Amino acid sequence: MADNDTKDLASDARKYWSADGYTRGGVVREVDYASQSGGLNPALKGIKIVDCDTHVTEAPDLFTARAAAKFKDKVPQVRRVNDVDRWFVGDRDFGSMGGNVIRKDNNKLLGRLAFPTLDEAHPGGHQVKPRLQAMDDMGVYAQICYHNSGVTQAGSLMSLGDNELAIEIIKMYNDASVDRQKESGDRLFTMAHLPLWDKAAMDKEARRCIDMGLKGFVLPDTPERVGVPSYMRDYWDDFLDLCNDTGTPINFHLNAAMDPTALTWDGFAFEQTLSVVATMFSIGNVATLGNWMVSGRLDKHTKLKIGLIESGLGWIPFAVEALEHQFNEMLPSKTGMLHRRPWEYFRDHFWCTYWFESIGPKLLLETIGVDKVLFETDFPHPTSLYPGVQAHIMDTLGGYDDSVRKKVLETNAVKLYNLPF
Amino acid sequence: MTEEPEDVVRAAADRVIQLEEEVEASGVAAVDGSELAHARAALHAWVDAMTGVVVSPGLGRVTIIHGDGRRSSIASATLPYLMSKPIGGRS
Repeated sequence: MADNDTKDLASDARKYWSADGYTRGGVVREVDYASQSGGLNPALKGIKIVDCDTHVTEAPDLFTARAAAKFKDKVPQVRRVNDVDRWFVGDRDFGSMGGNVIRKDNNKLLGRLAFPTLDEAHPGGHQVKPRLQAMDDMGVYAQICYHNSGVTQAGSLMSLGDNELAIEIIKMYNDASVDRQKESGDRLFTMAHLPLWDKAAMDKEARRCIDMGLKGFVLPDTPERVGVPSYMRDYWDDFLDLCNDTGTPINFHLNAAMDPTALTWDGFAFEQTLSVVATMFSIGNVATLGNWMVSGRLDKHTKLKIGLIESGLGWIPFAVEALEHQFNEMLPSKTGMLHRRPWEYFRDHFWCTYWFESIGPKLLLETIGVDKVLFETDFPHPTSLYPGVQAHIMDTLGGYDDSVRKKVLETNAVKLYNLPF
Repeated sequence: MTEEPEDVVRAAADRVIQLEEEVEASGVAAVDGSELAHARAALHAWVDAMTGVVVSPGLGRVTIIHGDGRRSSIASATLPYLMSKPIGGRS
């Protein structure tokens, strides 16, 4: 190997694979915003579109504005390092502020995860008023929102060595979500986070979130990866009973359990790696679907509602059929525990979302079930449908009657998340 | 009934081997005696030769960087915490 090759390898290895996604670069796509953002298509009149996967950037003062005096100096704060805004807890780097590729002037950045600094990006990424305006322009009535940065990741918080602070950070995040929901007039519904590593605190915070009016939780597929008991353990019984009994959904946003560097080839530029990794993270929810179906959990919690988010739908018939085959060929010993078949588990427990796909919603909707499919945009992430939301909806659902469109765009989400409209 | 520690270790090793057999790969387990001592020595030497490390507790992952820039990933639910300093520093 040539010396230069070795030096390149050494340089590449010293940063996480996605670090380039937050550096300057990429290509800006000039967007004809006015012609593509005129609100709800008249053909969809009477439908309140619920966009079931979007991201809200944690505002720089989210924690400092809510922290009690004893935590003021300890909670996450944003610092600019090498021209990139990043979260810090003390001297610990907690990562970037998350993806937002919509520029202040409504043009879209391609080939990167975000603008390096918050002030370059669309303010709707983290502020309610411009967010609602963007939604009105897209013809979207309400959004289900997820985190944007990793500042509340369980493993990172567990590594702080300060359990009280870690739990407080989660609670402040959830408090901010309640505030956002109210400020938006019940149009922005953020999925709650939990202190997964502390059962008593987790169960208590889950109850608090439901009582405060939050509409669901987001969970990791494999908590054991960061040292939290598996969903197979009784550690989760009380929480899952609570979700089951209150009709509160749990959501799995992608499945990023796999190691991106194990999937892609050495020598790829960032854009090449991301293209493969983003696809695999979406399809990774095959594992989430399978884990729940073979676990026996769904026979204990028979009303549990599970959202498979930002993972599309084209793969679902294959995955469920593959699991049907596995039930026949591999699982006869578990027939006493698994009382239903994969398609039955799917229809009783799971919902999926689609955004960029055309083939899936056009050809597979009735196979998957018109009651099981939700729509999403992934705003303001790199893969987001932006702008042109209405055109894509009409392309994919234009061939269906009004009742199907209303289910996919509104009422399936309203029922899943118990939305107040 | 509680399993003996050596049974737990053997069961864990067997499970790894069984799963690898699904893709026709064979793993060699060392759970005691000189084979385990040899494995430990080789692993110590390998770790001692590393030139960098990335600790990612949020992902349950530690990435070892070798002298030529190549990387090795260790997925672990415990190692990232052992390697993370509590905020405020560790004495």
